[in-house]
Amino acid sequence: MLTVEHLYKSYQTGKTKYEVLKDVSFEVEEGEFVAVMGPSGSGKTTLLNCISCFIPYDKGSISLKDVNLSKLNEKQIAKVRNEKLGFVFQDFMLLDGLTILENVCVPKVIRKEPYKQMEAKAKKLLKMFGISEIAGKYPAEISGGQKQRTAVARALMNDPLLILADEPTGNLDSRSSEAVIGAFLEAQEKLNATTFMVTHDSFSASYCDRVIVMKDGKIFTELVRKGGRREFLDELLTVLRDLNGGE
Amino acid sequence: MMTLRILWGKLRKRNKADYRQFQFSVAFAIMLISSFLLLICSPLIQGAFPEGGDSSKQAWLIFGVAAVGCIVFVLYVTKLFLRYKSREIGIFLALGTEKHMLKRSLTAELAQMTSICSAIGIASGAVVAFLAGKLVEVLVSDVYDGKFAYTVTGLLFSVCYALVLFLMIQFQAGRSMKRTNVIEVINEQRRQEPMKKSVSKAYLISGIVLTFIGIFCALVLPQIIAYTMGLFVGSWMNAFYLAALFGIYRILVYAVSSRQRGHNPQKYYNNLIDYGMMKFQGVSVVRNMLVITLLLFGGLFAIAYFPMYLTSSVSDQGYEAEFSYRYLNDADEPAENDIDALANKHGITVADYREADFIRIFGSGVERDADENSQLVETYYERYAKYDVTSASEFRKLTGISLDIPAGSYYQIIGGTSTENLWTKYGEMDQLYIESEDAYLPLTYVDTVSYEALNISGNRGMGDAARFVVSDADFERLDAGLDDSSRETQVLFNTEGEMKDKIAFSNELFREFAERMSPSMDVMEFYNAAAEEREGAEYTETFAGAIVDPENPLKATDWQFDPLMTPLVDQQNLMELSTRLLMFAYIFVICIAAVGVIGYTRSQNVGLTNRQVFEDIKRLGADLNYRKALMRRQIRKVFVLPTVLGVGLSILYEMLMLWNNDRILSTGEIRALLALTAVAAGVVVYQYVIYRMSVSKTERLLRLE
Ligand SMILES: Nc1ncnc2c1ncn2[C@@H]1O[C@H](COP(=O)(O)OP(=O)(O)O)[C@@H](O)[C@H]1O
Ligand SMILES: [Mg+2]
Repeated sequence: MLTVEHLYKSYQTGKTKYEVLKDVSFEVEEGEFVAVMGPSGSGKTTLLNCISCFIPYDKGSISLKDVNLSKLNEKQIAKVRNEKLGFVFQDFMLLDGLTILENVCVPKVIRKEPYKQMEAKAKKLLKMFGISEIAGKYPAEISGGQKQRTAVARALMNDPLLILADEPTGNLDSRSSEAVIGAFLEAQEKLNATTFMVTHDSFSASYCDRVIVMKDGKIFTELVRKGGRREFLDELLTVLRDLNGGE
Repeated sequence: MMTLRILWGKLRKRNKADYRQFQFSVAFAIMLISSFLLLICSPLIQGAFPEGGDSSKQAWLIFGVAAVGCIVFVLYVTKLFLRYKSREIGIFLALGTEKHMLKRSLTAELAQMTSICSAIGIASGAVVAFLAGKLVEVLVSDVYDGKFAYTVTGLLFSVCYALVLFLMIQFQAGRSMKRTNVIEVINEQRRQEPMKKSVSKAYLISGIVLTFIGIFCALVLPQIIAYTMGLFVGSWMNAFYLAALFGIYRILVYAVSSRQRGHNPQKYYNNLIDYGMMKFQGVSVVRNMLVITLLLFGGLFAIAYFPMYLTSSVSDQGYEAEFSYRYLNDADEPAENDIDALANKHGITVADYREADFIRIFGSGVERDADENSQLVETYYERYAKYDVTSASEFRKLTGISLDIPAGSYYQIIGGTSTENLWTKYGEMDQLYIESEDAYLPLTYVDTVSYEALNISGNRGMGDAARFVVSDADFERLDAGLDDSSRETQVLFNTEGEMKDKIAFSNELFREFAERMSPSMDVMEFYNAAAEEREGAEYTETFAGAIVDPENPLKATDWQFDPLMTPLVDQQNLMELSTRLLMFAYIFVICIAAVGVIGYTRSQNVGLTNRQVFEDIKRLGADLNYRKALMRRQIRKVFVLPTVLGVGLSILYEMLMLWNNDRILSTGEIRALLALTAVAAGVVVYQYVIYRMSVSKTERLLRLE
């Protein structure tokens, strides 16, 4: 599904060059829920931005279902973002002036799609995430968890191949976080959605099938969940302790 | 303190554009006003318009409008600037900087900027005033010797104006610092003002209807009522302009906030993001749009005077003689040989000199007035007025026109362009008083005879100032036994020579003429001896005593015997025309410049407040073209409708006004309208250029390149 091979990325600040991603390679399978963890500054957001073609990278290749993203022009990239990718961000990014239902419609609005299917689909997604009753409200009138579930619904609007999420629970309390993770799991279960989520919250990560741990721009290790969530959480916490201790 | 100032300086470097915008606007406002002041105070203009005259009053009135306009403009720009600044201030506050320190830095910075901008503004204003002054000099060089020069008063006034702006900016900054709540200060920049209501089509229609009804009722209806019912409704009808304003507001609100799924849900969804972006800026966008509409209207209204003046000044020239005056024979006024001598002295010659006898006698007439119910009331009086009357042969001596007048009938002399109107009709006099017989001579009206130069008083030979021609025999009977204070001499002549010499001659003749008037000539323009008889002492008090300054014919004069001297009229017309046009041009420039700045800054604001939205929809797969189109649509809102409304309404208004004054559109008026339309087209192009500039600036702000 998603294949990242030998990815290099550096930032030029003045004369000095910072290597942020150094030879990152991994794959995400269809229907998988993968988390990326790692200390702040380890390059997680940069990786995500490379995948969504938000920033150019130096070397390597990223392909989504056999399509090499680095070879696309601006229009094609926009189309990929709209149809193949779904995004969920830390700070919600809903349009304040639109209702929840309308916000969920936005990815299809951008393509000027027929409104009937659009409305039907949006209503279905809202129902799935248990936020139908707030469909007519504005973002300022609902809670953080509800906003984030709206964002997940919006990300799923075009049945994307892959959902990219950057710290989706970063601004939420634990109960809201659980609801949002629940939404991802729901999407995985019912729609066979593939999710690639950056998080520094081990609790959220423990729900995932696999966790990629990054350090200093490299993949430090990968953990696959075999047993229950509790054991996986303990495993994660141990690895992260080692990671910090090793510095 | 020192470190704060350094930090402050660094921030300024980052916000260069905000600073530049503020500085430019302040300097621009001061430049306009100081150039205006330096010009108006220069001997060139002061010499042309002596204190107290209408023209000088009008000039100061226009100046007042311009000055207030610039103050509002600067207040607006300052508010924008402080809004940009408030975020930084908020962060400093949050980091524990003391408020009075921040206030001091802010006011010090503003003080420094305002002072420098004022100096630049006044200096460039001086240059502009010089150029404009030279232009006027050239325009009026034929008739006037005045030279442009800088004056201390002009400079002082300019400095005072700059000082007023300075204090206002300081006050505004102080007030913005009063806000204590840090979060509120930080959020100031993205303060949102949601439109409360979503409006329907009916709202739009009511807006359009209100606009038209407002203009119609304020401008056209009073005239129609007056003509059809003889009712005078008075100036309270102007209140209907408020209805028009409210209507325009509704149209703009509709344009910004109409969002209904209605009949075309697909369209609704296609424009969904536009609606979402507008929702929280609606109020301030509408406010801006309204201001732009009004400024465009004001600017075009001012500039509309150009074609109107240019066409109207031509139609006023139609006098059969350059000089025309009359005097009562009890005065010792200059005779023909005195006029010749005076002309010689000034190096010009007198041509076609002719004079004729008139008498002033009582006669009947109809008085018209509006009663307390605004109803027209007509009253017939046997002794309505003391009229000017001459004989057919005297009239021929003056004009060369032979009138065949049977005994017992008369002609009425009218001005070339006079027409009957609501207040005055022709031929209503039906008897004249014969002094020697103490009886009335019945007379019948034959017709009018037109001679412009014999109708030079304010009421142009109408009503109680009418002048009549009777048969020679009747004239002899009426004239018998009159004393000199009831006998009048009418003089007409032309001159040949240089314009400037003619003006000098006119000035001296005017002095002679005014100084040598008799006590019976010392009355105001609308004085009427018959009305004095009827109304008594109170009337005498109001109308006796002419207002005339022999030294200065251009000064506001109220005198029944005010002579016509076309060189002076031409001089004054030309001077008034050029200065008035200059002043209206100023208003135009101020309005249009303000429109540009407001449109430009508003567009940037649209970009800035929606930065997040653009970033967001980019991630959701909106390609560059989509985002560019979205941004353009947002910016177009600020430009298209206000321009269409402002320009369209001003042309419509002008058309109604020109039609309304005499209920026809003459070719001159149509030409004036075409000229106005051409200027309006220029304004549209200007708006388009500003729009393009705003788009590319916002593209850079949002990195949409
Ligand atoms: N636009 C940028 N310019 C320069 N350096 C950047 C930029 N964005 C991120 N970095 C640097 O790249 C590194 C990785 O950042 P990021 O990917 O945001 O880390 P994470 O999301 O894991 O916290 C950090 O050291 C950060 O300073
Ligand atoms: Mg990050």
